[in-house]
Amino acid sequence: MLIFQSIFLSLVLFLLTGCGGGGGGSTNSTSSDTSSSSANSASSSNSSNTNLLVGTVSKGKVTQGSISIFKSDGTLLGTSDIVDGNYSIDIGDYDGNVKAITTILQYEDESNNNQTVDVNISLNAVSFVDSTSKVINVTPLTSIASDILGSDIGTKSKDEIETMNKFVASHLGLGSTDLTKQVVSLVGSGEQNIENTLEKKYGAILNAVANDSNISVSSDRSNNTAKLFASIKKLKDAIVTNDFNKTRKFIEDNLQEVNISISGIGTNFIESNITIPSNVSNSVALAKVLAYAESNGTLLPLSMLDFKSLGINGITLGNVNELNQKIANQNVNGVNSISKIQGIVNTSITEAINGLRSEQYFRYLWHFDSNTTAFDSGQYTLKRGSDINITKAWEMTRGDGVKVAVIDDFFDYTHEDIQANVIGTKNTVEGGTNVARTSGNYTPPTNPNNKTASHGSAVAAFIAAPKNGKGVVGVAPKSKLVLIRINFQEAEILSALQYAKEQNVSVINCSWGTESISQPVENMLKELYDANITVVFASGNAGKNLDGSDSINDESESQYVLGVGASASYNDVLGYSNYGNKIDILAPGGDVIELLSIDDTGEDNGSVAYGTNNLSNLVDHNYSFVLGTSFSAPIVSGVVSLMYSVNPHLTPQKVREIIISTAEKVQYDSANSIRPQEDYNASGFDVYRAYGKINAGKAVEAAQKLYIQE
Amino acid sequence: MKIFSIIGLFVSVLLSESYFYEYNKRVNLVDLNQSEIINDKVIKYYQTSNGKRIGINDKIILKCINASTCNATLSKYSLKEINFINSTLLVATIFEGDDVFQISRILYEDDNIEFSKPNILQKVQRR
Repeated sequence: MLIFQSIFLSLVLFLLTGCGGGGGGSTNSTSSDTSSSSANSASSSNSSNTNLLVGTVSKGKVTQGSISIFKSDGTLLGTSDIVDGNYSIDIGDYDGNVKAITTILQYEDESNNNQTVDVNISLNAVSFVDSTSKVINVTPLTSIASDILGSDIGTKSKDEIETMNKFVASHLGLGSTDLTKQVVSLVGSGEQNIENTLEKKYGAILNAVANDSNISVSSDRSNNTAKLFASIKKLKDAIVTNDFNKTRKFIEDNLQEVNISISGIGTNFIESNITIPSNVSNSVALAKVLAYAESNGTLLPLSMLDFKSLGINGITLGNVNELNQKIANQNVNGVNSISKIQGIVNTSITEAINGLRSEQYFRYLWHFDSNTTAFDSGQYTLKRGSDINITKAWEMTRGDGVKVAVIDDFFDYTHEDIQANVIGTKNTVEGGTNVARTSGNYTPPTNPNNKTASHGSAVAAFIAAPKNGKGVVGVAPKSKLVLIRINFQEAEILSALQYAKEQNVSVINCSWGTESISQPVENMLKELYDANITVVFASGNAGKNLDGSDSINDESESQYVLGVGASASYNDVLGYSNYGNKIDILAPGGDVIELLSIDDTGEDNGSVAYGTNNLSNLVDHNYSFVLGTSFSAPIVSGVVSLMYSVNPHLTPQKVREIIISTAEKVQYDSANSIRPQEDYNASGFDVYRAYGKINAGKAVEAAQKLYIQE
Repeated sequence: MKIFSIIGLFVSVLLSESYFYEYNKRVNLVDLNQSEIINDKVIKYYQTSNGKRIGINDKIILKCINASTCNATLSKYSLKEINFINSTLLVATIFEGDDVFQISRILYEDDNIEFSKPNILQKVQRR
């Protein structure tokens, strides 16, 4: 039954697309709208079998050859001979990306009176099929698009595939319809008789390829193949570099004999100094950039990956829309090159970073900027370079789109400098959502301007205090916080970890520990690890060797977490920081020059680091200077949040690999260090200093590069 | 005199019923004979082998191997209340007068239960 259907279909296609002997016009001759293509008509006329994929194969009409259709995973869907330039294959109910690979052994050469030419060449097409479209045409032009896109279509989205087919079409002045869906004329050298402008152009360009190859009619298959291949490659080289002049010259030089005027090449696209990066995904992204500029910002807005594959940094999942809007708001004719789009992005980045640095107490945040002069008049010296290189990280992201859970005792969650980023609270002790310190033996400060003392608030602010002109700012000021209160029961810890998981957080910060991790907690940490959630634990402040006693089995030593120790204002490990072979990384923890965070504890009056004043006098009562690995851990959690923001595919294992491989190897400071001279082993590990101090800029950059490579 | 004290302590630990299993090892506790009532719940205090003071109440943390058979597994035991943390992990409350160690050990022996141990109360150290 199928063979009869195929024969019938071939006849229909043959009639609809015109005879192959040359001279005739397409039956699809009344409109320039390519959607009424002959191939599409063939598809609709074949309603008796909706599973048939049909199309035309033309390099000149193919008279001998075969075609195979593959799914995106490489599975063969079907094969068919090519009959008079057409084929049909039953592909069942498959819906998705496909690759068509042909073997063409003979075609009619339209540049040589349609005489047959023997070749052995493969023309391909990458496209998609769904319930509304089961048409794929194959020509040298679809083959060029397919080559640029690459062979592994399993990794390409339908959008990417369609965009590349449109890009090649647009470059050649063939409108903005997917090449594989466009009418392909089989009329040979009679293009001048075709009334459909785009169809005429399409045929003329194929004719130009034929002329360029200068194949004399012969049965020298090998020689013919080489010539044809060289011509297709020449056109491809012009397209892939977006060199309209070269494309025009190729076509005009080769159409002189047939006297067809080709116009429109490149005019649909803005000609500029755009250069296409060498790899395939960049080509796809460029196609989108061009289409975007051409379409007044309404057709193909850029994705995060598009920006990044073009080498435009500073883009995360969260600010793509914002940047697209900024680009759209520009004069469209002015947004026609990557360098100009990069300019818009750079301006946005500069504005963002300047905004963060203008926060009220930014000058005291030495963990961000150790070049600050805020402590210069004090008794102790802040060592330049003791920060975490945050500015470079902020050029790429501010933590957009990432949720972080903080598990701690109390949170002043309405504090002016975290409230805007708090998206959820959970009290596992008393139940409900109030996680503030409202009970127990604590006496709130008498100053009405004071906020209640809460360890969790200070911890949370290090991660995601927002940009609001007040106080401090977090490592990931655009990340969102889920605050979970625990007290002292193992069951509370388990409930808190489970709740964090259910809130789809990417990072969980724990600035506490028991030194005796229970089996249920260890088991839960593994579940979180397997769920791609990175859990961060503080190592503790006793200056203790965690390897020194079998009885110590701290949460920070678990293989499923990042264990964090403290680095100093003199840029070495701090003496109070617990250490051992299972601690991973250091981050500033505060010492005589403490770290500033939110929350007036009323308990910590700082040190004498600032002249005759103590640190607490420098800031108002909603802020406090603090120290401890409790605050090193959230600095790391903030960096991890930034990493997830630029690469949502990260795993905890990959996070750890990146963080330790990009860490700065802090060194012994003769004036201040308590620990011995550094002794990093071949793996880069020192038992006191772990793998060194976290470098936010390098870690985020590595995470982003990994995302692009994926 | 000191040697007798140490022997006495050793013997008392061996004879003690205050033990449970964790990481497939027996965990012995020394009863400190201290207790307090918090939120109408009695908390008894014990000492671990490394000298740490911990509290035990009337709750057991256990994990079923299979979520689909968890309820059936637990129905065999006399438990006052069951609160699931997730599909396999739960907190079981025992009846007043029951021995939390004994029941957690019985549950631990069940082939359908991955682990079972008393809910430990200890001050989580802020760092």
